[in-house]
Amino acid sequence: MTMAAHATRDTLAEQATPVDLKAMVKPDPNRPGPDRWRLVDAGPAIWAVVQHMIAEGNIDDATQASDALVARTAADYDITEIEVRAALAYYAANRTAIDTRIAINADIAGNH
Amino acid sequence: MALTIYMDEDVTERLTEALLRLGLDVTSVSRLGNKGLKDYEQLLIAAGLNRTLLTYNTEDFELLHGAWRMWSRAWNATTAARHAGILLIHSSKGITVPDIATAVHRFASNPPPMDNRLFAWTSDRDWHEILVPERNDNVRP
Repeated sequence: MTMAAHATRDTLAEQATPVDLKAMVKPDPNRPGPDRWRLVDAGPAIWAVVQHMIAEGNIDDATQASDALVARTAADYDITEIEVRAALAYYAANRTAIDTRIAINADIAGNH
Repeated sequence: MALTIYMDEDVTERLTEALLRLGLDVTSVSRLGNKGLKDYEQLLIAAGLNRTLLTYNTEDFELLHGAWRMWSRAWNATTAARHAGILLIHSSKGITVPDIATAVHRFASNPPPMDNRLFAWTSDRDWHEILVPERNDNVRP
């Protein structure tokens, strides 16, 4: 994605409504459950974006991420800032499911 | 011999670029146009490319690895059915892309034999192998 495309879409993000943000996430067609939702257009899983923000930002709550962390996450995944905010909006509404998914992944990697 | 790596789709492009800058032979789901495929397809693609699959999606790929091992054994296909290893990464609070890149580079620069093996990395435990129980040899298709 080009810088210009990012800029245009992120400018649009300033007017994004909750309905717009909801349209940017969808269930994973390969895996059922609210913990598996993803960004549209084969974007990353919400849990992956949230986990990345907690790690990179050294924060406990991804919904409290700074604008700078949102921008960095967008660059890291090559997605737009509004898509990061859509992921965070989904996370805010489905926190238990996403936190559980991250905890399961941590358990598999760390406790076997 | 250093590993060649296939990055799963939930891994950041930034990590792929960091590993490339460290001199590793890395490609990714997105770079090969394989986004949206199922996990078992990604593992089969990695195996076909003879590349170790690196993923944050630990639960699903631990399950696939276990099925791969058990089913190939049950079908007496362990020689033919080989993947080039799976690396599970969990990034917890404060663990940045450079931290992970350093850990992967260290592992990949002097790797153990990887055929049909699964390793995981966390900041607390460093690299460790995840073994699949071998107790169900009596299970047959």
